[in-house]
Amino acid sequence: MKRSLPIILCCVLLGGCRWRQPDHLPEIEFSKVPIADAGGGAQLGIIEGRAIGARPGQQIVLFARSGAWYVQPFADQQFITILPDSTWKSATHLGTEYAALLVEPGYLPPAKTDSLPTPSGTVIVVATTPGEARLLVPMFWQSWWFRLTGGFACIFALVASYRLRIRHLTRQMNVRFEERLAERMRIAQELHDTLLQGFLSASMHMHLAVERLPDDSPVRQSLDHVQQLMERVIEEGQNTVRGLRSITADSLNLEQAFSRIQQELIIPKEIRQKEIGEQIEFRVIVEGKPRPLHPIIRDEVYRIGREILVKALRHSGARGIEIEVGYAASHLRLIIRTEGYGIESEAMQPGLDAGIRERAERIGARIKVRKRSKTGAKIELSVPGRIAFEKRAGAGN
Amino acid sequence: MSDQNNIRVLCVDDHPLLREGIAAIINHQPDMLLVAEAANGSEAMQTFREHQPDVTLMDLRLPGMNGIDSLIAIRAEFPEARIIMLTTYEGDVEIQRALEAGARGYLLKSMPPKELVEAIRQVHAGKKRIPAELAAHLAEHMGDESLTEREIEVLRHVSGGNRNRDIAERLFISEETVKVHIKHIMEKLGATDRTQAVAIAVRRGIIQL
Repeated sequence: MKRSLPIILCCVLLGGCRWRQPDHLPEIEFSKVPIADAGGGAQLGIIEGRAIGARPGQQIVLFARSGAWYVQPFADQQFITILPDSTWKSATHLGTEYAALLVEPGYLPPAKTDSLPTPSGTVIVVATTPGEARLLVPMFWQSWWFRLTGGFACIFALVASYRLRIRHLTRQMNVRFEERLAERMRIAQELHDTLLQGFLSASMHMHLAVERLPDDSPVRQSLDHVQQLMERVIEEGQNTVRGLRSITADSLNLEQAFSRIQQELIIPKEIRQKEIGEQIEFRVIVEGKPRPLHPIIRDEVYRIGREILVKALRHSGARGIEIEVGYAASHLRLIIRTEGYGIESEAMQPGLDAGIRERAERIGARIKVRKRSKTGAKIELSVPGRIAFEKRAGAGN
Repeated sequence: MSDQNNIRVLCVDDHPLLREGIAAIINHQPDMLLVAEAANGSEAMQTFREHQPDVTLMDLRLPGMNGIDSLIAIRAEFPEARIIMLTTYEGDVEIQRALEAGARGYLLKSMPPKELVEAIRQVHAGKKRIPAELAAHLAEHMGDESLTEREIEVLRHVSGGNRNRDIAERLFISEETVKVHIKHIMEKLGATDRTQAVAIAVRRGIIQL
């Protein structure tokens, strides 16, 4: 009995070993899996893993899933040897999922199968793993900081290009301003040289002629009148030359100048009144606090506005006109609303496309024409504040 | 009527039409005679030597040497020369300069001929003649800080349509210095921008067209 204990123990142990063996089935681990891909013949990846508890002679068979399962890496190369340290490694075509089978010698894997075999017979273990998600490790351009930086860079580039354009326009404006100043000087000089001197001389002659007339001469009165007229012309000429005034309402601000347009365009208005018997409603509105404008901008905006008004009055038969001059912090805005006679805003478009649009572009302004109703139109011109306003705020009188 | 009793007048003006008008006025007067005409400063000098007129009517703006410089040149040779400046504008700086240079009178071309001939007679009689309106204009700017030579030079370039950078290049100074000059000019003239500064300067006769 005493002798049998070790044997029994041995048997129990051995039996236990044998008995416990099914619990200790070999395992397959994946340590490296290629990315998940629809698969195809072209792309290969590396698959690696361990076969824990595999017995000598057992081998690994790999499958990759691309719809069906295909044996890997090639149909004529189906078995992968497990190295002494229990690791295995192979190339594989890409698939959405990967499977590794631990098989006994004698297993014949199919080249292609719709479903993997289950562990039985020569197939000891079947392990599957999905392919690595593509975006699991985002590339640097996918990271939030890269995108943020990119966003900032874009914004910065936009701002920079905008500022560059503004600076370019401002410089152009200054050049044109100087040119205009020189031109005015030249015109003034010519006025002084030709018209004014001629008028002065003519006036002198006229004075002498009038002096020679007897006091009761019937022509004396009319000649006196001519003389007064000439004096007025001379005086106006002198003022023009001295003040270097341009023909447009130079010393006026924009809204004053626009208010005066009404008087300038009074002739067509009167004609229309006679023809149609209707009054044109004309209003000038100021939005915001008026700020001193760059002289060139004031002139240009005035001219653009004037051109639009003339078109509105003459061609589209406007009945009502409202001009809004808006001084905002970031821009100067001119809105002209017309209430017409059925000739719609399209009638103004061709003209706007050519001359007025070009003018607007030159001063960096945007112009929009919108049909408000069947008969009305709204034309909006907006000039960036940096261009429109003079830097010395409050320097004006 | 002999020439001896007549006031002999020389007219200096570069505009033929205007000279014609003045000739008509002078020759219409029983006591005056237009002895010669000149169209510029050097011609004025020559004709003055030749004719030695009693009274000279001198346009302020002449091609080449201007009226005031011509006046100075003539008076350097003939200190007793009686010269009346005749101009289109009433710039206080020009009036002042002309009077300092020894002009006996300062008249506007737009004044009635009666005033012109009256002034010629007075100046011929040894008096000075400045119309009241011009005197008032002169008084208005009395004591104003005047522009320096350099500032006037800068302003002249501004009126010629030059940008600060161009002015700096031409005067061999930095752009910053030009800016400072322009700032001072605007302050002294009470101008808010370049155009206004030029306009004021032209009006007051600080620069000429």
